[in-house]
Amino acid sequence: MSASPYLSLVLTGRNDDYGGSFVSRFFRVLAFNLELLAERQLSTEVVLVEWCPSSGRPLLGERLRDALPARFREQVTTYVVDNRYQDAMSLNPQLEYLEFVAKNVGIRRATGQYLLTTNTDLILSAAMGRALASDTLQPRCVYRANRIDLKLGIDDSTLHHELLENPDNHVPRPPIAPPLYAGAAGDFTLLDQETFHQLRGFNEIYRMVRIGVDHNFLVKAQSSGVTIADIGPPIYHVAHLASYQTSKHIASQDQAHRRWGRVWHNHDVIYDNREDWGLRDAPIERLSDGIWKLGFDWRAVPPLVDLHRIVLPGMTPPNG
Amino acid sequence: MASGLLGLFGLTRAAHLQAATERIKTLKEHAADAKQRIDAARQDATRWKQQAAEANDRVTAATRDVARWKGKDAGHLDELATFRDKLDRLKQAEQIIALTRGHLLAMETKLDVLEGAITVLDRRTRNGVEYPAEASTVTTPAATKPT
Repeated sequence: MSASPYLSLVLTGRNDDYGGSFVSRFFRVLAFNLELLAERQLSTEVVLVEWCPSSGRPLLGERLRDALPARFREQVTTYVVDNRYQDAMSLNPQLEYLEFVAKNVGIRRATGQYLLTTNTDLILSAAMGRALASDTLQPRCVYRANRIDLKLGIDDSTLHHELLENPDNHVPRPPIAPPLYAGAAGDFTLLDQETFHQLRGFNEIYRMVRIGVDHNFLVKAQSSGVTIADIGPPIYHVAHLASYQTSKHIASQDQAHRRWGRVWHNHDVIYDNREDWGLRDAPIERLSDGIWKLGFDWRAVPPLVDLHRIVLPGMTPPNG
Repeated sequence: MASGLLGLFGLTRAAHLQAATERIKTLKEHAADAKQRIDAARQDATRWKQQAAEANDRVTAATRDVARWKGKDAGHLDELATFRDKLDRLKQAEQIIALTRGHLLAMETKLDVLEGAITVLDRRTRNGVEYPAEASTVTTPAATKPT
């Protein structure tokens, strides 16, 4: 693609089938979403951050390239992050996946006018396709969406709008509400690229958890004077055994800490990421068409401790 | 003429005498009437005095009431000012508590990070350092220092 796309979908995943039948669900959902956006003639790129791949397995980016319909392949750029970054950056040896540092890698490198950070199992509704293509998005506004959970065990082998829109398939969930419109924010955080960069992405100072980092971003955005709004149409999520909503009830405490980390003060304390957020200084190398490798370099790794960057809302001006 | 002669002897005509008697009688009646009116006026004056005294008493009582209410009002105003002062101090205390709570949460978050960093460094140290088998027999701290 030559010109900058209107929308970048920023996703992260691993090649170890983390979360059960992750890969097949991911490919199916992404193809569905790209088809929807193509119908709306919305110029879109996909930025996939393949975080710390296990050796001896094919790369997720390669599998995705092979699995996607040919017309979408050029839209996907994969950044494979050297697996040493997980250990070098983590402040919680139990935690297996620094999801939001991975998302920051994608946010920093995405070229779209608007960046939608979402998850690999999130399905856009037809109405969402229309809203995104309506040319009504405003800069300096974080758009959030209500997530509709589809019942566990539903046959999602073929996705279609009738399946998604049928209320019989839905699990009730409290709607998002002002001022932050929080609640599963990691599933849909849409913001213009410039403001995302001014805010320096998600918190990568407190690298101890996966839960609550999305909410923490909303607190940071609000504290920086950025508007937060409900975009209107919903997104869909097929419940599966590895999803947080399902497994938080069945995981042991130890499992929960490994997957998501502990509860922390994410509603009250925010962050001021360094200028080199999102592994800016990681050396980059082309592996194949649309697949890039971020090599390991200690100079790209932020310090373990950077306490003065842990701040209270309203006490620092927004960056930039 | 005849009355002139009678006058020389200190006498007057019966008609004159009768007229004078009539006038005296009329004057006496006027005097009695005036006396009656004076008595009535006196009574009125006494009554008005009494009413004036009563009114004065009422004014005095009202003045006392006014003074008492004024005192009470001033007390209420003082109370109100005290309440306002307390409210202001409560608001200030609330702000201080919110700020203190924020700093406490920030401190806890920083401690989390420090704990995490120490755990990570401890793990790296343990993984990176190989102690010689005979290290347990060495007694000096300098000798056990990893190289």
